[in-house]
Order: sequence, then C-alpha cells, then structure tokens
Amino acid sequence: MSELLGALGLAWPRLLLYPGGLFALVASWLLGMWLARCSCGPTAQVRGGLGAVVPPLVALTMLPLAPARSFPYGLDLVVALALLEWPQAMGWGAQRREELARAYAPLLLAGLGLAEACGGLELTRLLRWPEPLVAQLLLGASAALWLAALPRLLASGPGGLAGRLRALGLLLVAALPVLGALAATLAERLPADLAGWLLPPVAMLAAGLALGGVARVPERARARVELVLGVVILGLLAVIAGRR
Amino acid sequence: MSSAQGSLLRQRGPAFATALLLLAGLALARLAREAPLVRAGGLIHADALSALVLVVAAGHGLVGYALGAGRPWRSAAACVLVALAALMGHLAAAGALLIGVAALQPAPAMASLWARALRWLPAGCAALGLALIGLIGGEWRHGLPGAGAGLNSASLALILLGALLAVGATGLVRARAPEESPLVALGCLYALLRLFSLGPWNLGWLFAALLAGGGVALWAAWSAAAAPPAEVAPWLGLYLGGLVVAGAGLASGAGITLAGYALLLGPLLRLGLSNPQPQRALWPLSAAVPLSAPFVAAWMGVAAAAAGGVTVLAVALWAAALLAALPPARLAASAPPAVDGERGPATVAALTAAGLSAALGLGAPLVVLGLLQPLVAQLQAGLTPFGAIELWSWAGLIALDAARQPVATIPSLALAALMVILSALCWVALRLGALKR
Repeated sequence: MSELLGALGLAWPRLLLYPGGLFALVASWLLGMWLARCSCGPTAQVRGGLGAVVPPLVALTMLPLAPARSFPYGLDLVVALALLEWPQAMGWGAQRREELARAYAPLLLAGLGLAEACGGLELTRLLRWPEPLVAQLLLGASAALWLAALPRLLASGPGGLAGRLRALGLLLVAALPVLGALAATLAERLPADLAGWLLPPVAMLAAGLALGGVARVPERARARVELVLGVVILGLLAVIAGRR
Repeated sequence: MSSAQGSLLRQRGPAFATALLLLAGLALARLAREAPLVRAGGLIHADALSALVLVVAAGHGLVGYALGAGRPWRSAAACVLVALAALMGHLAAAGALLIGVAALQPAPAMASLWARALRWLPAGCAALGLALIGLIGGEWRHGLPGAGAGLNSASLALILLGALLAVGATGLVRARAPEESPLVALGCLYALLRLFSLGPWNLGWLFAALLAGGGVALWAAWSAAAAPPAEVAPWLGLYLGGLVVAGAGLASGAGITLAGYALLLGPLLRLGLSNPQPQRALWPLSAAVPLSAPFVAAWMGVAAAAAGGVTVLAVALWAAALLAALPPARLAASAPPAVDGERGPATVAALTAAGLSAALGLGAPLVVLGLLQPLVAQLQAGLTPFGAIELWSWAGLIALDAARQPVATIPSLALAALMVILSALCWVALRLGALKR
C-alpha cells in the first residue's frame, strides 16, 4: 500500500506538468490546430464532460516519456487504447460493426506488429529499439501503419478537449518507437541527460508532421498505403515465425 | 407449517437454497485454498475448481431466479447437481450428474424429437469422455495417481466437443442466437478444465482448443455486434464460452485465470443483458469501459495469449473484445435522458449487474488472489509455464511470460486512484472558473 501511495505522491509533476497536465492541454490544442489545417480534424461533439476527459488524460499522464519522473506502474497497449478511445466509445449509439471493424482493423494489425517486434504489449517496450533487422522493420512498419490509420479514426471521432487529448495520446503511442529509434541511433553521440530532454520533442514533432502529411494524402491513396503496410507487416511476421 | 409459510418457502426457497450454495462455494474457496479436501477415499474431491463452479452455478441460479425463469425449484436442483458434479472425485458419478443437469433443463416448446435429443448431446459427450478416461485408465477417481493414464485423444475430443456444443457453438453454424443452457455449459466446461488435474495435454489438443476457442469467441462477438438487443446475452455468453475454451487451450496459469474469470462473468452479463432496455446503467457491461469486468476479461485474454507467445490469438481476442463491447455500449449510448420515477425490474437488474461488474473489475486482483490463484496452483500438474497472470502488489494485475518477464500490465488500482485525483483536480478547476465568472 505504501508503495502505491508513494508512487502517487511522486506523480504530481506527471499529473500537473508533463506528460499530463499543462503539457497535455497545450500540446493537444496545438495538435488540434494542426489537424484542422490538415483537414482531418474531428467533426462530432462528445457528451460526458469531465467523464470523457479524465480517461485520456490519465493515459497521457502514464505514458513512458522522458524527462518525466519515472512512474512504477506503466500501461500496456490494450489499456492505453481503451483509455484513449473512451471519448469515442461514448458515442457508439449508432455505431455499426462494419464501421468499427474498418476503423480498428489497421490499428489492431499495427498492435500485432508492435507486440511481436517488442516481445510484449507494454508501452515501455516500444522505447526499446530491437537489435534484429526484421524486428526493426516490423516495428517501423507497424508504427507507420498506426500513424496511417489515425486520420480516418480522428476525422470520425469526437471533438472538444476530450477528442484533442485522444488524438494526442494516439499520436504519442506512435511516437514511442520513433523515440526508441532516435535514442538507439544517437546513444553514442548525445549525453543521456541531453537526449532525455531533446529527443522526446523531436520524436513528437516528427510523428505530428508525419500525421499531418498522411492526413493530406487522398483517402484512396491512404487506403493503398495501409494495405501495403499491412502486407509488409504480415510478411515480416511470417519471416519471424519461420525463424522460430 | 401454515399455508402462508409454505407459500413463502415455495416462492423464496429456491433463491435461499441457491444463496446457500453461493456461501458454500465461497467457504470452500477458503477451505480448499492450500490443498484439495479429499474424503471417502477420493470419491469426494473438493478443490479450488469445485469452489469456482459452486460460485458460478449459484450465480446462474440466482440470476435465473431474478429474471423470473419458470420452475425455480427445478433450476435450483440443476445448480445443486452441477455443484455435486464438481465435488465428485469419481469420473462416472460426475458424468452421471452432468446428464442429470441436462435432464433438468427446460425443453423448448414445440421442439422436434431431434431438437430434444440434441439437448442431451453436450452432457452426453462430456459424460462419455469422462467415462472413457476411467475405462481406459482403470482408475475412476481423478484425484488419485494413475487417473491420467486414461486421457487420450478420443476422450479429450468428446469433452471438447461437449463443451463447444454446450456453450452454443452450433448457433454460429445456424447463424441463429444460441439457446441458453448456462448450467449445462458450466458443467461441460468444468469437465474440460478438470482434465488438467489428470495431466498435461499434448500439443495437438492444445492447438484444437485454442483454434476452436479463439474462433468461437471472435465469431460470437462479430454476431453479437449486429444482433438485436434480445439476442445480445446469448451471443455474449457464447463469446465468454469461447474465452474459457481458448484459456484452456493456452494451458498456462494465465489461460486458466482467463477461463475462471470468464466463467465468473457469465451470470453477470446474463443478469444485465437478458431483457435489455436502452439505459446508461449498461455502460459497465461493455468492454469499452476501462476497468469494468468485461474489459478486465478482455485484457486477461489478450495478456494470456501474448504471454504464451500466441500474438495472433492475442489480437483476435482484442478484436473480439472490441466487437463484444459494442452491443452494451450501443444500448447505453442510445439511452434517453434519465427521468425520475419508479425503477422497473430491467433497470434494477441493469444497475445490479453494473455494480457487480464494477466490483469484479476493480476487485479483479482480489478475485485472482482468492479464487483463481489457488485454482492455477492446484491444476499446475497439467499446465505449461507459458504465461501467468499475477498480482501486482497494490497496483493491479501483471502478465508474465515463460521467462517471468512482464508482457502486459493493468495497474487498475493505480489507474483508479489517478482518475479520482484527476477528477478532483478538474472539478476544483471548473468550480474556480465558475466562481471567477
């Protein structure tokens, strides 16, 4: 019990400043503006007020991002996605299963690739750039597919603060492997302290720009990109399975 | 006894008897926590699996009573028979009791002779499978050494087939909502899980169970997602049955934990979704709600499969959970604004189920500690080391792979605490903002 209370006591900077709190509010607002410019901003308004905002905000608070103080209780992909998608789920009154499957199938395939490349579902594992080339390719392709699936998901999702926090969370999940790759590549050239401060914003910015770029691609071309990435992921999974 | 007392006994007696069964199950879970209670030379074998079956059987009985099912004494008797089957250490006696449970199930009106015969098939398959084990192995008491010698492909195939038929897998072939017989399904799933007491399964059997369980769960969830409200409960029951079979197919501590938790979830979903009306109280019955019991079950499925290295199954179960989350979420999201007034039976049932779901979800670590960890420990002889779901002290649950490395985490208590703190902070900020204006 004291462990939990101690961890919660040390979580205040995470809750109030970064990666939750102030950072989440400002970054999600900036991302919302950027997505609106890229014409993939959300359209629907979400009901629920505070109840819709808290779960995505908690997910953001618990993301394993440097230079935030470490928090001993990390999330995995399943829990993170459930928390982030809560504002969207609140509007499932008229949702059809085909729409649901179309929206989440690329995300689940990307999740399969991420889990297989990292050997587990924990978000902290996404920060570890794997050594084998096949696993690196799989992780990269899966992160790319996750990012490519976001514009459609976000465009049909809720707006408001809850929708913006959701968008930021989904983007930051895709930014974790980018951060891992940057950290692995620059490990010998940058001091660890500096890397902790410099690399997360670079990874977030790169992922945000990539999301904007993908959002500007026409819908049909984006669907083809998703298809190609899906085939690549399945091929890489087959290669990994064949090596076992 | 006066006529008023007799009438009261007739009305409330079944519920009282079933509640006693629930208490007995909970007491047994405590008593058999360290080691099974074996009496009469192995004829009575009460262990953690028996305790789980007693609790779930009583849950189904109470739900049936709450839903106003006909012939409550008959239903209570069926619960007692399932419980006795779970307490029996003799394979033939357990099989015979399962047949008895099937006999007590109400026959559908105007059913053809073939349909009536089909009602007996699942329990018949399970009983025949259990009998084959005794006949081939020459040892009928499953708690004694040497009982596992009779476990072969034929007996396992029969018991697996019985379990799949009992959970209603034929509904997938006929594209019709499966007919609900939760106690027969519980009995047959018990027979399947009991096989781990006899020894490890071979890879072929595990693969068959994995494929069948994962397929049934995904297909049932797909069907549930487009089903009319009245058919949601049977389809979701089938989805849970698929999870139990898939958990058995994983044959690991994590798989058995999944199977046990999915069994516990069954009565709860039946209670909330059997006569559903659009209302917001149904939210906690959707796996879309983080920390609800259906969400924790879905997490256990994904985590158990990932811990076992079967990532494809993990994603299939993830997709199934998303689809299974849709029907209750649709009903809850399309609810009209609440109007003050008298609460009907459907609302009371939904509220009770929602409360139980929240308790079972947030209290999942306690359920694992009290009911499911002893179950895994006592079936260990038949399990593989590929995955375990364990307590994460004062945080939630953690899934570990064969190398004891964490692969999935659900810090439910930490999450709940953070949500409370954040909600309080947001509320204070909103109040301050309102005061300023």
